[in-house]
Amino acid sequence: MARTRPIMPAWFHRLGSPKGFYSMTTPWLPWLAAASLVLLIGGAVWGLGFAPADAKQGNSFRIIYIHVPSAFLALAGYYVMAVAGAIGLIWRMKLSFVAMKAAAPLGAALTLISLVTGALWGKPTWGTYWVWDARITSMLVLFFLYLGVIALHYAYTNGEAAGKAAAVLALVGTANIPIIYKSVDWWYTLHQPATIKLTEAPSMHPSMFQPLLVMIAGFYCLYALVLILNIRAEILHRERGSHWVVELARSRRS
Amino acid sequence: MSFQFDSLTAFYTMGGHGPFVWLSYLFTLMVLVWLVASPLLRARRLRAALARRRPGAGHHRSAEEKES
Repeated sequence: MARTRPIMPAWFHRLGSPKGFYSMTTPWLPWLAAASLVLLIGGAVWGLGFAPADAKQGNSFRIIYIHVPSAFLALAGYYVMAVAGAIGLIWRMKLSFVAMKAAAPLGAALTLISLVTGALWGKPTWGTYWVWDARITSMLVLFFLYLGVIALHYAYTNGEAAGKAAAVLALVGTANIPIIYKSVDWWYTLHQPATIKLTEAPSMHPSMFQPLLVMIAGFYCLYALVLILNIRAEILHRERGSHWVVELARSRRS
Repeated sequence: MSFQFDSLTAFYTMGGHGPFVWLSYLFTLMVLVWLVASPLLRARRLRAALARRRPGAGHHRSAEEKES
């Protein structure tokens, strides 16, 4: 009898099922937590104490080490949320709406960090906490899009209907992303142009740039950790009637 | 690579920018701690509610499992 080779590897199917995802990600958590802790603490100490101060902005420049990574992840996180929503709408994969819901509060928190640190950086640098310029306003719109996705999940008691409505909002809101990216080029603005571009060498000195890379890596690890933790909590909630979740609750205390 | 400040006081004040820099990092720290803690606490609550449930109670939902 001929054995047919599976089209997709086994881990792909495990990742798609709530139980498979839960058991597969359990060993990842301590590694992600350790990596985020080491990178974020190391990067922050490096950026706060050991990177040189900016020639023009002085020490307020050190806010860049949390402002840029959080803004980076706020934008990347929107893609995660919108793509998960699209997969849920098109292929109805069980976990995709769970991932979309998990990405919303995480993205909102990161957007809030970038807005607050931006304001605190703006005061000593521009003389004002807030200006209604293109970059800042479009980031505020991003924050409200995240809040909208969160609110829609509270508005529906039916999880499936909430998922569909939130996915549509997330996809429509994707139009805001290129506006955020290009806002510093399209409009005259107080906000400085992008520090890191994929197509060009960084405009920063390596002694300032290296700690920034460490912090970005740290924020990426923390993003992955919190996203997985949010998905796992949501799985426990949605699958609370299944045998494996009840068994898990009775057996393990971790 | 060396420490950029002459004294700990200079490190705190950061040439007048201290309050802005330290407030930024403090706010970020608080939000990040909340981000990690909230799903952990939620999962613990859900597990505790499920563990309290009578064996064989089936799919019946008790009041403490209902959470937002």
